[in-house]
Amino acid sequence: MAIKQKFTFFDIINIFFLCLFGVVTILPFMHVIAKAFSGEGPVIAGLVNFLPKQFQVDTVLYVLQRSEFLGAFRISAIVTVIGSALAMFLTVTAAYPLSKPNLIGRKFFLYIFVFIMLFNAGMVPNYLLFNSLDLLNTIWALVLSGTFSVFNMFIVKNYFESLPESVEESARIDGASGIKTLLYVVLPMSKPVLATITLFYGVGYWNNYMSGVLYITKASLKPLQQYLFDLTNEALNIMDSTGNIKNIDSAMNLTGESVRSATIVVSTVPILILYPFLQKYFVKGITIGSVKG
Amino acid sequence: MKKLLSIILAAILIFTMAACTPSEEEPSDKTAEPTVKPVETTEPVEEDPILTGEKPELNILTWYTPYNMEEQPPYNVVEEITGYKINWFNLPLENSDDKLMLEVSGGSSYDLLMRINSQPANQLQVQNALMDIKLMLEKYGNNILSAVSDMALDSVTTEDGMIYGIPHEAFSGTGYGVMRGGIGFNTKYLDDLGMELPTNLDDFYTVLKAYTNKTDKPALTTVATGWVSYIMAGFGMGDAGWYEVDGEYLPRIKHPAMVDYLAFMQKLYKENLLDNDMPINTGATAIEKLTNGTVLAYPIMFWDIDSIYQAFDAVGMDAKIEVATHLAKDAETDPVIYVAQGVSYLTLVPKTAKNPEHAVNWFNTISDNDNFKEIYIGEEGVAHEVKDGAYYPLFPTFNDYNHADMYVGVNDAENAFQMWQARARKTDAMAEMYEQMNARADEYKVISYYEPYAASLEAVRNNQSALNTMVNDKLIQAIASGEDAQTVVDDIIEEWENTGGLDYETAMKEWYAANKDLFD
Repeated sequence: MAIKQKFTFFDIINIFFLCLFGVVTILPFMHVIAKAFSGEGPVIAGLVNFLPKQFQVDTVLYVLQRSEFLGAFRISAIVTVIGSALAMFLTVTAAYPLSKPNLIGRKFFLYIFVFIMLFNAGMVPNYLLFNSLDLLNTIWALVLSGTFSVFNMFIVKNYFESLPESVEESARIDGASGIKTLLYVVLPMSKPVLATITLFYGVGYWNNYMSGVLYITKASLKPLQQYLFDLTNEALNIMDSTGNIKNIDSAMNLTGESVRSATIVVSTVPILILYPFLQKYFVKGITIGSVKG
Repeated sequence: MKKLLSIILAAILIFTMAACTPSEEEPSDKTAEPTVKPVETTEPVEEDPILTGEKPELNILTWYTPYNMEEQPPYNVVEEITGYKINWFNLPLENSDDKLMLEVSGGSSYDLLMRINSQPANQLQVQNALMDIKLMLEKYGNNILSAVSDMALDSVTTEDGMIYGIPHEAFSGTGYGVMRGGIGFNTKYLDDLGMELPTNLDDFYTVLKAYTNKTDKPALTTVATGWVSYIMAGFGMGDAGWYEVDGEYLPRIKHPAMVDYLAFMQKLYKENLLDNDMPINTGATAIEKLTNGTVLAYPIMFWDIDSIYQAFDAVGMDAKIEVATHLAKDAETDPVIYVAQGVSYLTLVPKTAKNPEHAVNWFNTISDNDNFKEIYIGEEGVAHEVKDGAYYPLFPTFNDYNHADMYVGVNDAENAFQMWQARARKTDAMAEMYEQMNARADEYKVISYYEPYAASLEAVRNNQSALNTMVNDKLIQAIASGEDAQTVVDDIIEEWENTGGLDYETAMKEWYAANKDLFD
């Protein structure tokens, strides 16, 4: 006999609030999209809410042709791809041995990892380190500043620990070495956690703003998030503390609101495209990784 | 398998080593011989390798720009004129002062720090991070020295005679052209009211009152601010932060007319003539209210006009904007405008510079009168034209010079101001608005104020910004609350004095007494 599904009051409340949260999240984004596709006039007059007025695509096309935007986009894309790949390599190669109880000095290494997760040198020493390594104003400053997250490594380690030991044992009986076991047995079984952590790293790199501020003074190496921040906060630069305009030429060249909106919209597209493909792994990876057994 | 591991590790090592190599600048595609304009030197007797020898690439760190300076047309113009290839570096928009300190203390090898604010510049000087450029200026800086005023040079000279920077003086003008903003009125609504554009406080109040009585809507909106200089002008104040009143040099909050100004603003707010959302208004929300036809008036700058007209078109508003510039006290009193003179930015040579003499020589070349003009507004007849002694843009070439202000050196402030006016005439609407704002410039008493020259004093650096923010916040609050104006001003003064205001005042008074004679 089929179990009859009952809608409880709790379900109704649940659905109501979930929809509400969904709407609250999506409306600001719709507002920005509407402004990106509206003429400048309606935007200034405050006529644009959630649907474009004087619909046009010129602004988006203009943004897509701006060399500053394209350059920043390219830098962020390169950094995200190289950084995520490098980060995943380091994370997996650190997590796998640490997931083995018989690793010599395991406790010591774990202790060190926990220590650096809780304490780090801070921005200035990191800057000085990158400076002394001649990494400032190179793409590697952006890549290496976020290459390893101990937190992510622990998620992967926990996931590895949750895999049945017998599978690895069978591989070993068949003569597989440690690395072969990792490559051909453990990693294929760990797709959910790998997808999740890749997404973490990818989004982290894509959204990284501070590394650009700290390590980059060359305009051609500016990452996208710094470019976006600068674009949306240009006016910061032109007023002094009494509100007098101190830089008239900059004030006269401020970017229009619809160009700013179009830039924001275009720059969120890659992550919007990536999320649905990785989402199916996402929830599973997080929950499984956190529970051992 | 060990082999595989070794290969992977080796690959990582190679990647890392590659990463450790700093990125090389791509060579310029310019192959033509640079056309160096002759730089007159004081002693051209012996051949100087700085002037005639090979020109190294210079690394220059400057202020934030929203564009890549190496991709803008003036970049090539500067290279052609000077023969130097410049690698431009930019500070970030946010926390730029901290970043500058980090860059300099980290030993980054910039040859020039260009267009740095007075406060961080002075901090670098105190930290002994800057070169004394006195001798270099004497040798290679004749254009710079002739462009910079004595007062500006004094402001960057330490007690022991060290010159630690090249001052960029503000070019604000002193006559026609000083008006860049005012309270913009919707002409359609003015016509509906059958009233003229106000020029003094009494008329201003009458017009606002008439509009609000008729429509029940606020007549005036502004961004959240306690200082509306166009209205303050009616009380003998303006953009200046300091005033000489009866022989005493006073901060604006201690100006005798401060209480009256506050009471006037409170009255506008209470009677709903001033938008009651003012304390939370941003620039975008305030201009919305003007363009969608809610309010009659809103303070604008002349370069806002094109976007305002675009928005008027979008809402179908058949109107223009007329601007009431700084208001007079009443019909019998001449209007007053305070205009800032002083040092806007400094260009510095850090001690870590590899080519300090070349950097000064380069800066001197771009400060030459003809070179300055060519970099700033392009060639006459191609990018700009001169009509009746005034500069006008020629399109489309003039568009190439939109961001040229970041590439120029220093020049006589009045000259630079005249050239700048070509920018003010970039569109027909802008030109018309600028002309309209300045149509009554002759009637104005233009008072120059020089406090920006004092920006590098320690007490000013430490207190000015926080005190200004405090006073502004309290004024906004008081305008909305309607609390007794005298009590509010007394309270603000008390807090001012308890939070560094006294140190600030002492320093400013000493500076004023010492420099007063130099002012025009």
